[in-house]
Amino acid sequence: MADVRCPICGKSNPADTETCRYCGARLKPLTNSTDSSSQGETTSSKAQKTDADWLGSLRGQQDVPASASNQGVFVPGPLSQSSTGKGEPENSLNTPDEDFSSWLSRIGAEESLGENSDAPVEKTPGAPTSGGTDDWLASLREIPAGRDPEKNDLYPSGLNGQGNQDDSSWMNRLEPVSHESSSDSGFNFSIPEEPVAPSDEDLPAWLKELSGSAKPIQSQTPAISPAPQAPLPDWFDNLVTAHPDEAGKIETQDRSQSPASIGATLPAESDQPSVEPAKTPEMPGWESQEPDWFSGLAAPQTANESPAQAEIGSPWDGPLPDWLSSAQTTTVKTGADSGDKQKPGGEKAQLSESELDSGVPDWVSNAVTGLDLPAETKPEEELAWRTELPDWLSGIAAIEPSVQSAQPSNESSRGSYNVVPTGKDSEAESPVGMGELPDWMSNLGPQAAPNPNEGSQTPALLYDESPIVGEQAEVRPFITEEIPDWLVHLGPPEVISSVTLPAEPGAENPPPGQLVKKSDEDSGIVPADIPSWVRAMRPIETATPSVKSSLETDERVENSGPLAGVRGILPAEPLWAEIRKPAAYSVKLQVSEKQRAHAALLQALLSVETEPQKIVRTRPFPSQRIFRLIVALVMIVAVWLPIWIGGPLTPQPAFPVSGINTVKQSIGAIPANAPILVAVEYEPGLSGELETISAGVVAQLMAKSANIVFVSTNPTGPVLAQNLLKRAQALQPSYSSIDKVADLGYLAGGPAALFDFSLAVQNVDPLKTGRPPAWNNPPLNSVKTLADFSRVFVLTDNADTARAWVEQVNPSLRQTPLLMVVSAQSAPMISPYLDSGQISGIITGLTDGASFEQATSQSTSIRMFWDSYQAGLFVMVALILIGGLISIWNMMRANRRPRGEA
Amino acid sequence: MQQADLIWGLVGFFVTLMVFSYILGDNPFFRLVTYLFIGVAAGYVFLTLLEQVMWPKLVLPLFNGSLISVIPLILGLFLLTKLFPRFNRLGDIPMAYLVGAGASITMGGLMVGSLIPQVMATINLFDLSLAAKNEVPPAVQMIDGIIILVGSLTTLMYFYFSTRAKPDQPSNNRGPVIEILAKIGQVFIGITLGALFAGVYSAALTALIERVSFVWNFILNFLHPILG
Repeated sequence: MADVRCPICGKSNPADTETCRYCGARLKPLTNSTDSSSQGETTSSKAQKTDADWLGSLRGQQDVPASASNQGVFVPGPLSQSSTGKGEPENSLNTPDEDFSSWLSRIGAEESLGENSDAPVEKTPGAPTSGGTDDWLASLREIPAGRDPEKNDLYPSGLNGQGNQDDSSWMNRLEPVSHESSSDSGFNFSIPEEPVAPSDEDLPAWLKELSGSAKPIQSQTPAISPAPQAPLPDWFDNLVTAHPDEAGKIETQDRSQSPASIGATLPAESDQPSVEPAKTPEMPGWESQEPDWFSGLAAPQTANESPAQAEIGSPWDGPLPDWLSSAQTTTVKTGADSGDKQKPGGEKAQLSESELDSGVPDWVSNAVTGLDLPAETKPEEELAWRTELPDWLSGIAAIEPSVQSAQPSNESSRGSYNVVPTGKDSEAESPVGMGELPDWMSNLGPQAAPNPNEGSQTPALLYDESPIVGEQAEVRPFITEEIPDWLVHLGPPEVISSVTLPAEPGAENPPPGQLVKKSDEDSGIVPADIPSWVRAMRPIETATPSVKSSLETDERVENSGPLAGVRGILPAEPLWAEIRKPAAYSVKLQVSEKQRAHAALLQALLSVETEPQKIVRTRPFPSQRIFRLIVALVMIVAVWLPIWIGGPLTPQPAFPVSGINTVKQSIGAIPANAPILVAVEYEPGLSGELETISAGVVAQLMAKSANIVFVSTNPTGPVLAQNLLKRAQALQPSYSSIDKVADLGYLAGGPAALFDFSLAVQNVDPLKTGRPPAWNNPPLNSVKTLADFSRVFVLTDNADTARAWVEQVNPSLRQTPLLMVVSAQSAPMISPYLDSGQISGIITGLTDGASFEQATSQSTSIRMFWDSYQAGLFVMVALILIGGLISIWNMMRANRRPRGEA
Repeated sequence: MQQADLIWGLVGFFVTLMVFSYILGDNPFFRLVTYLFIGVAAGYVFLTLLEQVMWPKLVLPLFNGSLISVIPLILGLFLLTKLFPRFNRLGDIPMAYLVGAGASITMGGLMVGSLIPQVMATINLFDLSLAAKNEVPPAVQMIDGIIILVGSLTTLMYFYFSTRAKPDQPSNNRGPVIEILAKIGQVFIGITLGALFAGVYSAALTALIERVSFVWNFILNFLHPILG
């Protein structure tokens, strides 16, 4: 067996259950027995039909043509819900819009049927065309006899007990207004421009009773048309008698609730209109949300159920719904379940059992009781009661009756009405096509144009998404200037934004059929309080990429072009085309503070290194200068004394040196007038030693009558050669230096000059000013090469010079002996050349000079210097020895102190 | 001539005394003398170069039409550019010639005049036939040869500082054999340096003696007659 889905909570229930297991909502509508075909039917479609059946049954009782029963009178959600499960389901509608349109279309059809029962009822597209709901409306629409059709009569004729004729009078006044049909389904209401208040005579009895107490309320709610003059149905009477003391606060239907749940919700307390548009329940089909009492009304009631029902007459063909029957005995809780009423339709379990059983919504009972409120009733509560009406009722109340102009037309879509926001100040609003709204409806409906900002009195319909400005757009029923919050927030945001809500009650209303698009700045919509389950349905943007670019684009304000100052537009020129001043980069070295500190530190370190350190002047101890002076004086005295004494104090060297013998022998072998090359290569500083030594050698050469040729690679050589010649000539006064001596001058170039000289002797031709070339002179006229010299004497104090002569000149000498007279300081360096045979003879220092002098039996100045030299050497040796002994003594003392101290 | 000798004698006397003043320490007299000596020497050298080198070997050939003398003239001018940092690159040419020529001459003479003959002489020391020729006992010559050979080798070993790096040993340690030979060479080096010091002292002593003698003779010959 197929499961039945609860219209309220949407949960599946077994097919044979009558109430929902979870929320307690009625699953099977309360239908009339005659039209009952849903006994055991559990499908939603059948439930929908059940709702319409009871209306149809009602209509049938009032001799409504059978054709009218199939006009598809639609009962909106709360009304379509059947609490008893009896009766036929109403005309099935899959969408709320369709339900509204069908219901209202049926209303129009009912009315037309009242005038011409045979006339076919044209319905709006999508409007339901079947079902017994049309019957109810049709029956309601029937103007009872003797009843002013212009008077609004919201109450069905059977409700006031005045007969079906009266009951349907107000319904008959619900006249559809022709308008352009639209493809959109939904309510198409046209509010009559001239609301006509029903007269007291037209009102049914039950409504009269209600209106009598509700007159103050009615005055406060001008949007609600006065109660119809048709007699009230019996069920209403039962309600009145059953709950006379009820505070009578009709819950302002939660806008978030579906119409189907309105009927099942309990009336709220007076403290809160309980307009919570956020609590948009799930949207089951309207057909499944018909209130119980409606379904009970649709079901044919037995005659025993309620006398009030009998009075109602036509709307009910079947037995009285349970809720009506039990309305007398049950008390409707008004305050305890106020919170429940605000819940979505799925939580109808909180409803009182009495309500469920009786099927009487609290708002109805409250409406009934509220009308009979004693003086203790607070006006605020009454206002709150009025605000708690379902949306569709409030919409109905806002609909202006257009009884006069309500004429069926081919163009008009049945059930379509033009809705014009009326505001609070609008008075005498009555559902279009219904003629004068019955008092019960006008009283029940919310007051005209509540504060739209609260959203509590907004119509229960949504505008179409597409803004229709200035067009004869499709007017939906129940669309007023006040859209219920639950509808406002139910649709897409564009719809909400496209809806224009009057900011103030006195705002100018647009002409009918005109939808004004609301701008964001004018939006006065209070954010709705969305129930949790709706929030859960919201799509979560989890991986939505950041829209920074779009945000940047949006933030970017154009500053050029015709769109200057506008945000969120594409840039006129690409970003890369923007002319920008090139970034100026500083050529200056960018140095951070830390780097500066490091550089400063490094510079300080380097400056410390480069700065000359101040030498701590250590004052020399005074003995050091004295000691130096003493040593100097000693030396000088030691040298001077022999000179001052003048006598030979020391003997001559005892043994001759080998080198000296060679020189002696070589000089002895020099032939007469042989050219002798004498190279003067010593410095002036040591000229005293070398001149002393060389003078004897040169004197021996002079004694041999040799031709002496001087040459030097030292710039001061020629001058020193002249001094040497002079000194030697003093020893040999007979030697004529003019013809025997030649001076080749200075040889520039060092070793290179010696090499060149060794290759080409005559290339060295110093030009003497005023003198003929030296090679033409007799000393040199027989010399062509370096080997033509008889001897070569090198007089030097530098070992390098001697080596150079040995290396460069000696290979060219061939057999010519190379003899050297060197200083004592270069003797160790030149002796290897003597040992190697490269040098034939060598005289080193004063010692060899003295030996040579002794060997040649000459008396030169060497004898004078020999005593001083010996004294000097003695003093030096003595000083060295004394100094050594002192240093040893000091060292020994230094070694003894650590030992002693240790 | 005597007046000239007297003048120059006086100049020499005082200059010598000024030099001897260094015994008392650095003093202006000594500095004056040193400056004077350097200046006079520099002047004399310049004049000598000008008279004996540049004029007869550069200027006169150019006047005589010798074009080859232009080359040393140009190179000499290039050498002067060394004084100017902007043009000192031109002085690299004559410097290169001088360095190249000098190095070649030096190296040739070193090889031919010193290295080979000295090696041959060291080898010949062990030639006992030459010992007889030189009238030297062969033993003595042999000992001389050994000493010279050992001294030469050990002296060279002293200047050998290359070592082989080992993982667990410090790198500044030479081999034990090298170390012993270096020590022996150090001895010969020391002896050589001592001999050189003695020779330097001998030369300086001789110079002192000569100067003291000059001063004394000047006093005796020139001032004593004046002073009576």
